[in-house]
Amino acid sequence: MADRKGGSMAPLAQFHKGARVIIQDIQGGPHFIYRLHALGLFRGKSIEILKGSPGPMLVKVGNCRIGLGHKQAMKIFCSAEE
Amino acid sequence: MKKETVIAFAGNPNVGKTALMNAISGSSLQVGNWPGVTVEKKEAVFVRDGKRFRGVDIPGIYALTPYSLEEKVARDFLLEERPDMIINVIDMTNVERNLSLTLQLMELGIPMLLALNMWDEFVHLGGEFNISLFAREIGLPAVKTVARSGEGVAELLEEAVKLAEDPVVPRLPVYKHMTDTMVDEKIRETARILEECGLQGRYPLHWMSVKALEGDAETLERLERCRIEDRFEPLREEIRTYHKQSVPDVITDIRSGYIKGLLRSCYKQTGKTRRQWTDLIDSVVLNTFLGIPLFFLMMYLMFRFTFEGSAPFVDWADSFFTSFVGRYIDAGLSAAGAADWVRSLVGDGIVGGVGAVLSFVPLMAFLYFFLGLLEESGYMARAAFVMDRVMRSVGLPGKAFVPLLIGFGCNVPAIYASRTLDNEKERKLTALLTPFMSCAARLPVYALFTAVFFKESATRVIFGLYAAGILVAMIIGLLYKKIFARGEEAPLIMELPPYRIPTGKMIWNAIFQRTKSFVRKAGTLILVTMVILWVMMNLPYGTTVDKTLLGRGAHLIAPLFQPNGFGKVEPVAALIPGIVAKEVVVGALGQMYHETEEESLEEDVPLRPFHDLGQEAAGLGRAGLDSLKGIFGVRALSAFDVPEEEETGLSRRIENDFTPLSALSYMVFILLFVPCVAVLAAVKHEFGWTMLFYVLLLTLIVPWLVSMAVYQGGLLLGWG
Repeated sequence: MADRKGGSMAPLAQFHKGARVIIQDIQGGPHFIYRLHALGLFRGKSIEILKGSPGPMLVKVGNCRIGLGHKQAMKIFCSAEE
Repeated sequence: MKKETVIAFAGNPNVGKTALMNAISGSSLQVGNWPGVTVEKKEAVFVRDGKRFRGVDIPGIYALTPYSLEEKVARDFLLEERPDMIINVIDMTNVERNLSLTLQLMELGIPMLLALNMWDEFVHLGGEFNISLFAREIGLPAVKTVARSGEGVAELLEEAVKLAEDPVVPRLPVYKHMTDTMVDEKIRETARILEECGLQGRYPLHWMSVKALEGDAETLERLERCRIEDRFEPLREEIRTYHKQSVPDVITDIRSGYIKGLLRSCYKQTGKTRRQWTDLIDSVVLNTFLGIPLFFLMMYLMFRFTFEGSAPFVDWADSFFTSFVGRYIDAGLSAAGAADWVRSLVGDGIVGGVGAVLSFVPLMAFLYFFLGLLEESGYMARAAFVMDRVMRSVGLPGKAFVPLLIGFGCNVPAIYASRTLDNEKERKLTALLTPFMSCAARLPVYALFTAVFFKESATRVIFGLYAAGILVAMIIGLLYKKIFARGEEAPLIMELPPYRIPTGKMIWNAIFQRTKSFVRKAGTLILVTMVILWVMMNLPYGTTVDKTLLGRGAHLIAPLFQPNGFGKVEPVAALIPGIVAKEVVVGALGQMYHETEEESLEEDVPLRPFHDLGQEAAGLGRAGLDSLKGIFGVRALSAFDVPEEEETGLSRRIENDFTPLSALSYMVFILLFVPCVAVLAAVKHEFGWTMLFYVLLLTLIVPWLVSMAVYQGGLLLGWG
């Protein structure tokens, strides 16, 4: 898949610890999407990965740390920040 | 004029709302539950400049679209009960995200005041913020506060008084995307539709219009009877085609754009964001390899602290009540010429009941201290994160491990510890499974039977019983997941708050308020049940045990237990007193078999009030020392010490009446059978009558089925 700028896009779960990524797209039901929005995770947000797979992931957005299950991290598509 | 001004303290979770309430209200804080649900409600009344205020700490919310029960409670309070004022507490270290909630709260049309909290941390992280410019831009009064130290609280209250005298409704945000006001027009159009339906005055229309356009399920439900849903869709469609995004995406975009613009003018982050402590600790605590061992270490410490630390105090409280208070009351009654049965009712029923309640107080206090520490420090969220995968396999979230583990010491605090779970359904399932965790009070029963039948393999049998309890809980958890919660596994999306050093005041409040609430609410029920049980075990008064209500009842139901291998009157009758406390089964068996223990010699000891009081005080001092020894000593956990059993008349009678297999079946039954009065009262206090009914149902049927399976299976294998 390609993002708007033409860079490559992958599920968040596939990025490693230390990576900085930008959210490009979130898939899933409205409930799920609302929740992520409310926690500050939405399109265009830059996030840092504090802990990657295996197991749940930990990401930092702004000054907040958000834990995400593997299934959830597979539905958030991101591209690496330049 | 209204008697009091109701202030809702609203904000994201972990922004210091409770600490702020504490700082404002001092000791007047009341902890209870929101009606009908297990969500904690904190309220406080305070007077300022002659005005009476009622502060209500509503649960932390990220948005006004409810996700959990807590958030629904919070939103319903704001929408339906319409407080007079909102104090929106903002965590300045996360100002951008916090303001997204602020914008939503502004639409509710309730006068609002901002507390820019954690100001010290914000400054420490190199933040700069122009408050007066910000307040002007957003159109709301704002005060910087440090809730933990009480800084800024006086100023905040001053503003609250001003706002109460001159209630100004926040201005509505304009939903502009760049320079285009298309979305705003659609929102206003929606608001007109809602107005046509006569909804103004009942709900904040602007807010409701945004929600209706977003397609928020709960809002649409509220609007269902107006039958206007099909009028929204064309508006949504217009927004979608114009912006090429879904409506919620567009709204989020606009809000975040507005916040960015607002902050650009008044917020600066100077200096580098330093590597923070939290990230450093997390890299160890959440490490793939270290996370789980560290969690277990933490749990060991909690278990040790709670049970070893409180045990000497529990023993002291118990003996204080039975042998001191009870003895003096009895002496008083006897001097006043009270009848024998009155003395017995007061001594065994009432004093025993009050004693039982109060002997739990040290246990609850120690537990709440440690839980408070775990929660306030931020570790509890990590525990949930680390244990998530393991616990989810039985349909529970990671945090459920904590209450279940506590259950091995005592089920009562375990029920209360389930409060730390985030979702009502999971909380209930955890409480339902807790009674299957074999608490320490069941050990004396195991000890009695293993000493007779399984001398060589006592440890293995007892270990097996613990494991059987866990296994049964897991099976029920899985069944529940398969039958009632199919496919609706709650996703793991949670914020991990930064680590903070808890303040003494916060911990003290956690201990004091919750323990008080336990004594008041659960205490009454325990007392009533104790009196009822006394009636069953003693009436008609003066007859032998088998002629009492209990004995006759046991006669009736004993045949039911034929397939379980213990269908005789004595073992069945002994089960009922087990509801008072599990260890009472041993004594009850003794009574049923007429092997009364030797009467204590207390009666002959003369009453010497001053001397006795001194003895009790000294006992309390010793308890303190023993508690420290228990916590910091090198001994193994005594909660799992199997009491020594000597050969007595009782064990000989048991040897005659039971076989090894039926003894095993009986132990399994005791393991799974209805928990004690205190647990039942805790369930009622936390969850209400319906849950109590389910617990009773489950702990009556499951033990019968499982112990029968054990007995019949054993017979098949030729162990009989």
